Amino acid sequence: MRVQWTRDAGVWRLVFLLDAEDETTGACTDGHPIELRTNSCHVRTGDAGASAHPDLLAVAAWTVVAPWTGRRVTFDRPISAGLAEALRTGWGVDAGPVGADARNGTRLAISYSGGADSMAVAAMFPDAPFVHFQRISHPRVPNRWTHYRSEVLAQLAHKTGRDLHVVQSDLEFVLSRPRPGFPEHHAVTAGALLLADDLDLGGVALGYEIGSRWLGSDRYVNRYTPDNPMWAAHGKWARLYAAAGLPLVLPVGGVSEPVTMRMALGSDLGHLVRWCLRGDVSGPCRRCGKCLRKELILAAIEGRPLSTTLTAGSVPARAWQQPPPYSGQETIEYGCARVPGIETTPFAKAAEYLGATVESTRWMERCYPPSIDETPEPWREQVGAYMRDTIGLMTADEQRQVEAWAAT
Amino acid sequence: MRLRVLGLSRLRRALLSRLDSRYVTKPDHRQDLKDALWEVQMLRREVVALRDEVDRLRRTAVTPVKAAPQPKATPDPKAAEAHRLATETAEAVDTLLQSEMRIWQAIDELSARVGAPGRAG
Repeated sequence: MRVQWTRDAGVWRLVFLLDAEDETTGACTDGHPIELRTNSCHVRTGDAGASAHPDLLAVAAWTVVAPWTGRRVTFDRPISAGLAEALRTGWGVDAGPVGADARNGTRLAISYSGGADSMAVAAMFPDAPFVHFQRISHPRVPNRWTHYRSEVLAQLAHKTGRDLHVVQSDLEFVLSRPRPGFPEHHAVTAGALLLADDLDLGGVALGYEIGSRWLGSDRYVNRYTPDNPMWAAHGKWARLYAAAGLPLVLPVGGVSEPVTMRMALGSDLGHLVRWCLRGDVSGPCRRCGKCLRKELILAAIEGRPLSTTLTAGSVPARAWQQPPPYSGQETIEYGCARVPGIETTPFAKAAEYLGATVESTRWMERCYPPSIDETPEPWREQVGAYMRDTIGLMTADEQRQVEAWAAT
Repeated sequence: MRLRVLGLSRLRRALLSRLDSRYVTKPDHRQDLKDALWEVQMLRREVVALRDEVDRLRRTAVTPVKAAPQPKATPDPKAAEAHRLATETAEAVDTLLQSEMRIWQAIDELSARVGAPGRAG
């Protein structure tokens, strides 16, 4: 794989050329099969980020090209020896040329989507700047996914009044299958990487919670995964970011979605929380799968019946009519155990299959301490203090429940 | 005497049959009332169901579904044709873009083999 970045008028343009051994089909680090559509994309940083350290450019490119790269990757400007070593030990690829000094920075930025998880991170770090990734159309790809209202999410981010950098990119459209999306989950940080030198960033915080970090949820293995390659502090991606002087920080990596939801709604930005990709400025659509799932969490933490017009026969509710495992199953267990009258909702079948109780899901109320321990310095102290004082830590028994967890 | 009795009985029967045709007996009345009450109950249930249905429709009207119209259900054949063409064109472009990458990949490999300069380093 050969990678070339060019810069013009506020835009970084990436072109990558496949070597003979490279493939147009591949897999994301979580194992999900994906297919490449085209080999160019761009990231609009505006006037900021005009000159970025080669390691930052290399990592930003790697979040797009990693799934298709066979044995070697050639960057268009020399990278640091540490970054080349991280690529060699993490992916087994020869990376070069080598010749730059390692970089570092001091501030923490938040990769802010506007959902409950990243808003919870924002509540923990009230002074940290936001970098918001906004999907825009790709000039070579007809956009058949305009129901995704990325401009609405960007508008909501503006309303937070925080130090905000909206970075627009079409990089998701390099995927043809299963649909446009991040080739690697880490591509959401493309903006933070390219702006890191301008903003003196020494870390990027993401809203990945205990399900993603420790329980293999989303598309991964759905069981306890201390060595999760995407998000573990000793995993290959974390080592790569650390080598580029921008360690990944997961301030809410030790708490569950019900906890991040409480943190977000209790924060000064609570009225701006938005997980729905379809609704307009006036509010979420309340008819998509994401809205249905989040309504379960909301009803659970508010101790009230589910409020939805969706029926068990509707398309967004289809997953919950099948037996488990479910993605993010621990959250479904938490909701099913707490929402009154669950047997008359689209989650009735799931609740029956799971048989969860308030007692069996109580461990999700507190923070899993190993997540604090793996938080990079100098942010470990602040994360630890917040979790101890505001959320509380799991007991040894509850920690064992996390470590024995598997969606079955 | 016999005749009289016969005549009386005949008269009584005629009288009763006329009365029967005009008036309803007490048990029949009771049954009719029961039937009427049952009808009222049924109607009440139907009204409640209809009211729920109106509420449901009103709610869905407040949050309209923004689903794309199903191309097959489109009454306008030109719109359906345009939709088909757009979908097929987008898929064709995908194939072209992938082919372009693979062709350049092959060209670069050949250039490397014959020692000619490729596109990039």
